[in-house]
Amino acid sequence: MRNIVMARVDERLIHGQVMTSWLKVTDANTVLVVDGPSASNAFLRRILFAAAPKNIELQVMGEEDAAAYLAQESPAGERVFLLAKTPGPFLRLIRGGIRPQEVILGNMGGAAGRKRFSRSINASDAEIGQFRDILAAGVGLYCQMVPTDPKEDVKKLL
Amino acid sequence: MGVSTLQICLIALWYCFANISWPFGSMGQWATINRPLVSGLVVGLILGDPVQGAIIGATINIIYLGIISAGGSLPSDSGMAGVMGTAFALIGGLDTNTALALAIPMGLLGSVIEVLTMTGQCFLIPLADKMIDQGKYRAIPWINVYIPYIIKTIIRFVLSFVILYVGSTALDSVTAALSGRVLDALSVMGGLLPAVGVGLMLLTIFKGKARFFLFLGFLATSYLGLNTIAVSLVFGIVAILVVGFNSEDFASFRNVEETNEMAWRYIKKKDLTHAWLRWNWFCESCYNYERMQGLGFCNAMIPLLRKIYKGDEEGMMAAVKRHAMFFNTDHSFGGMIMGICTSMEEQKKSGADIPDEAFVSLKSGLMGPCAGVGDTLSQVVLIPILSVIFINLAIQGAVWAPVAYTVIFMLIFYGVSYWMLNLGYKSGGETVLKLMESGLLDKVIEVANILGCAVMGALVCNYVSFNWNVVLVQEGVEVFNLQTGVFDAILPNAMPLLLTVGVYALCKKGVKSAYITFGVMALGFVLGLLGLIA
Repeated sequence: MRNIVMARVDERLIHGQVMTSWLKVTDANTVLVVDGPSASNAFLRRILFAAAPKNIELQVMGEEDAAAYLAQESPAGERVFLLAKTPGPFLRLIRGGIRPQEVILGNMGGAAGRKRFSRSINASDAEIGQFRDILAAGVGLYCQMVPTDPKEDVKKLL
Repeated sequence: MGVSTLQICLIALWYCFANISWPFGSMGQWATINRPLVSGLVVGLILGDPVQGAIIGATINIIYLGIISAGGSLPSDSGMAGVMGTAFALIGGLDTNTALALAIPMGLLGSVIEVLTMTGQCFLIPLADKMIDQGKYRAIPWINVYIPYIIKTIIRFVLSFVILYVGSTALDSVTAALSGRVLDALSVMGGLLPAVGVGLMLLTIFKGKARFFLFLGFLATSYLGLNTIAVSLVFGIVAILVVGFNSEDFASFRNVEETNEMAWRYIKKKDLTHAWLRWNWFCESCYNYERMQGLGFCNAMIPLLRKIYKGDEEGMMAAVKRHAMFFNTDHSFGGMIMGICTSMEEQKKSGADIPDEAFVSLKSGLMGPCAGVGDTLSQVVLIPILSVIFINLAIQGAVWAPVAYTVIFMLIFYGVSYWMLNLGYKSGGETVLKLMESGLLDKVIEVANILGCAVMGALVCNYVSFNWNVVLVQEGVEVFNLQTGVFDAILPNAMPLLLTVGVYALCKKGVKSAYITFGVMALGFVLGLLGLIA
């Protein structure tokens, strides 16, 4: 399995200042966006590549491609930062044997069917079920928007 | 200086006004009237000493140079710090450095209020959803603008009135009770605090080649005695030369294609401009953790959608619903995204097959990257560099400097924003992408980093004061003086530079800025109390 230094849920995917600070803290050199629509839509792909910092390698893949890619071994020195819009892709990766140390919930916006979960996290009942499943699979799950925020354990919020 | 209840009322009213995004626009208000540089002048006018007010406000502003609001997080409220710090300094006749020491806790109090506000405003969202479901779109401005503003203004007025009233009554007795030594220590502490502002600013700009320019700017000021404006001009030119531009960089501007064939079919230019004004005025009037600027975007779009979906109630409701989603981005780019969405809505109404998901993925795909680029350009490039120049003028006693700063900022920011709105509407997402892919923005940011670092080097010399007071006297004759004999002889202002770089290093390690601020305050207070620095 590749060397995953962080798995983060952020609806806004690559977002300038916030992303920059996380890349600094994790010292990542590769960012893998796991999002089907972004991978298949040429316009969205271009936006992501235009927004990515120039010194990192960016990959945008759907879930199946991501699982196959992550199952390979990392070349020496590679540090992969995973990014998805919702917890779903991470849960499916974990079930497929790709286990990051922990999953961090950064930002999930409010929408119809979603309720407020913590300060910057809004989740539907199905997504809260996915939180439980990730925890049940033995992977830590925390809320943390920027690196200087304290980590909130999702176990205690459920 | 005595202060009347009327004056306290006026200052409290100004504080309320400086937190309202009409008529300066959300970014305009935040970048101008809410900054200590500008509010210092206004508080000074109210208290009858505009020159001193502008000087104190400008000095407080230095601590908040590096303050950036990204992704809805605000570390400290410089507006509160500016108003209260200046007011107490003028009323109590305190020196500028002591005013700084007072301003910091006020700024932290302000940021706590901001978090409470953004949490409280979440409760308005279900109400907005309900009104949209019932087709009562006229209620949206009430929920997005009037109700939050009325409640916030009442709370802010009462709070600032109480702080000012209690504070100014207690101030005389407190300053009288504190012995000269404690006041001196407070002043020493205030002298160190600008290092925190500069250190935080460096966190975003101190990288790559730009790093050398911090030291060049520092040396130019420390040895050659150049002032801040000279440093800005000289290093501005140097930065442009170092980065280097060619005609390729501007290619994306030359070939702008107007692809919107539906332009002005349903709406007039006036309607789009009004929507843009509504976006800028009220995009964050109901800013909250659940949807961020979502309701603000919806509120700006509703009158446009009414024109486009005239007589089509079903289409109207679907459109309003899709624009009430979570949204958060830079204000200029936000206007541009609004332009793109408007042209897509017109195409949809004309029969083009554009599914809801297309709007969702366009908005959610663009908002993050645009916020990244836009926050950097406005908050790391434009605001700090303009502020530094006018802070410098204000501290030298130019009362017009805050006004000039406001006018220039408004012209640049809203000029560019308006151009971007029309670009989005007429040319759609393609032009934006070309601009972002063109590398021009990266070059602009690099110029800003170099210029910024050089100016920060000058600021360290001019505004951080850290002088050792270690003197050895034998038989009435000074035989050793650590400051003049050692530091000033080798490298003047070495201690301010060390302190600033130290603050930067701690920030980079991820230490919270509030802890660093308190750490520097404690250091200054203790060293000042011991008489080791003066």
